[in-house]
Amino acid sequence: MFVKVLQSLIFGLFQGCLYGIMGFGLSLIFSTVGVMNFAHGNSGMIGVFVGWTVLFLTKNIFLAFLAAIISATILAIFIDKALMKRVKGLSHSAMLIITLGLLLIFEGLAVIIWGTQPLIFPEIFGFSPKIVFLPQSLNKSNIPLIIPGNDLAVFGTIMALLLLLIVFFKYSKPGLAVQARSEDEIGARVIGINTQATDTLSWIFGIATAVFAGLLIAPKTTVNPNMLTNLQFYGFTAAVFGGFSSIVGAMAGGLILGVIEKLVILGLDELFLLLHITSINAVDLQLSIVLLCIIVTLIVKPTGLFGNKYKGKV
Amino acid sequence: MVLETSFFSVSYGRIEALKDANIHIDEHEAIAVIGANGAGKSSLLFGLSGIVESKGLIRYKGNDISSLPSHERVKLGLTLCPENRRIFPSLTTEQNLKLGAFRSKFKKSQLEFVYELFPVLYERKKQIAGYLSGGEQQMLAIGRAMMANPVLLMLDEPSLGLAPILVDQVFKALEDLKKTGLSVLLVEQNAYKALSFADRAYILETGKVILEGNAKQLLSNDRVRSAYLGI
Ligand SMILES: Nc1ncnc2c1ncn2[C@@H]1O[C@H](COP(=O)(O)OP(=O)(O)O)[C@@H](O)[C@H]1O
Ligand SMILES: [Mg+2]
Repeated sequence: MFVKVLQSLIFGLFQGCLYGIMGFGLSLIFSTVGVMNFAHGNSGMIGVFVGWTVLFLTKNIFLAFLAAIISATILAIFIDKALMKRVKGLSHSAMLIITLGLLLIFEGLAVIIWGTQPLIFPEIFGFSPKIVFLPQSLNKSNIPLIIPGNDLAVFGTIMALLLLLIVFFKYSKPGLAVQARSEDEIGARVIGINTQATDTLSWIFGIATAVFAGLLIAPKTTVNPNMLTNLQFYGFTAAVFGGFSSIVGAMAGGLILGVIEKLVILGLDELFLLLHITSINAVDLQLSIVLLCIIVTLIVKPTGLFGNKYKGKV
Repeated sequence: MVLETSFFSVSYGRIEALKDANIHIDEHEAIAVIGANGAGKSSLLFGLSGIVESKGLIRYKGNDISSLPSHERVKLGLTLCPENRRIFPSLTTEQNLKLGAFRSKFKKSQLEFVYELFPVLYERKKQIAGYLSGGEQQMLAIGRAMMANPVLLMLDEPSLGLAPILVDQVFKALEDLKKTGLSVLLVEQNAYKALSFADRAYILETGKVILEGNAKQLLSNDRVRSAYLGI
C-alpha cells in the first residue's frame, strides 16, 4: 500500500505541476487585467503548433521553443493592445466575451492551418523510466515504483521555471510593478507605474507559460487543436484553489490538485476492488473529482486555500 | 510658478466633471481646493496627475505636460496621494513605502524621514498594510507619496473617515511637510481645516471655480462660511 500511495503522490506531483503552471498564467492575467482568459489553453495551443512547424522545418528543438515563445508574445501583445485595450472602458464582461470568442477563433484557425489530424511531437528529453524497488520493510507486496524519466524532467523544468517566476514577481522591478498593479490600479498609477506596460507584461507571461506547458506535454498528447482544453480546466481549478489573486497560490494549488486527484483515484480503485465493482473505472471520474474540488473550495473557502483577505497574495 | 492650468477640463463621456479651471500654484505654496461631494475635486487631481484624460493646458515649471502619461509626471515630481488611500493591502508597510520610490532612486534617508514624520509606520513596518487602521493607512498613503520625492504633493481628502484626533495628526504632518519647502495642493471637504492650513484656496462648485483667494480671508467670507463651514 505504501508504494501505491507513494506512486500516486509522484504521479500527482508530475501532473500537478502542469496544472500549476496553467493556473499561474490564468491568475496572473486575472489579478492584473481582471479578466478570466477562456482562450488560455487555445492560445497555448497555437504557440505549440508554431513550435511544431518550426521543428518540422528546422529539426531544431531550441529554435522550435524560441519560435513558440515568440509567437506567444506576439499573440499576447495582439490580444492586449488590439482587443482588450479597446473594450477596457466598457466592462469586464466585454473582455470576458472576447476571450470566449478567441477560444473559438483559435481553434478554427488551428483546424484551417494545421488540420485536425494529431501531429507527432518528438520526445524532448528522451529519458527512460526508472524502476525502483523499495526495501522489503516498506514494500511487503514487492511492487516496483515507476518513475517516468521524461515526466520527471518535465516536472523539474516546470518547478525551476515556477521558482524563477516567483523570484521575478517578488523581487524584480517589473515584477513588483505587476504585483502593485494587481493590488490597486490607481495606487500603482500614482506611484508612477505604467499600467499599460504591466498589463501587456502579464498577458505575455501568462500566454508564454501556457505555450511552454503545451510544448512540454506535446510529446504525450500529440499536437492537436484540443490539446490544452482539459489542462486549462485544471489550471482554472488550481487558480480557484489559490484564490485567483495569488500566483504562488495557483502554483501550489496545482500541485495539491494533482496529488488529490491521483490519491482519490487510488482510493476509489481500492474501494471498487473491495466491493467487486468493475463497471466503473476510477480514472473516468477525474473531471468529476476536479469539479468537486472547485465546488467544495468555493463553498468552504472562497478566498482560496491559502488566502485570507490580505495575506497570501502573490 | 510650479504649476499653472488654463481652461483645464475633465469629462467622463458626456459628464463634465471640471470645466475650464484656471489655477496656479507657486513654489512653497499650500493651496486648498474646497468643494462639496461631486464638485469635481478628485477629477481635478486625477486630471493633473494624468490618471484621467483632460483638456486644456497644464504648465509645470514652465513646460506643457498635458500630453505626458501619468508615470512621466510622477518622475517630474508631480505626486498624488489619492482618495481612499489606495495602498497595496497585501504588502507590508515598508514594501508599500519602498514602492513609493518606484520612479525615483530609493533613498534610505527619505524612508527615515517618513518614519520620523509618522513614527507609527516605523512600529508597523513589517505589518501587512491591509491590517493597519484607517488612520495608519492614511499616513502610509502620505508616506508613500513622499517617497517619490515630490515637488508638488497633491492630496485628495486625507482626512476622510478619520477620527478628529487623527485628522489633527494628519494636518500636523502636512504642516511639517510644508516646512520642508514643497508645494502642496490639498483637496478637502473639511473646509475649516483645509483653509486654516493653506495659503490660498479655490472654491469648486459643480465643476467650476467660483471663488479664489487668500485662505484666511476665505475663512471669513460670508458665502464660504454659510456653504462650507456651516456657520
Ligand atoms: N469615473 C467616472 N465616470 C463617470 N462620472 C464620474 C467618474 N468619476 C466622477 N464622476 C462624476 O464627476 C463629477 C465629479 O466627481 P469628483 O471629481 O469625484 O468629485 P469630488 O471629488 O469633488 O467629490 C461627479 O458628478 C461624479 O459623479
Ligand atoms: Mg473626491
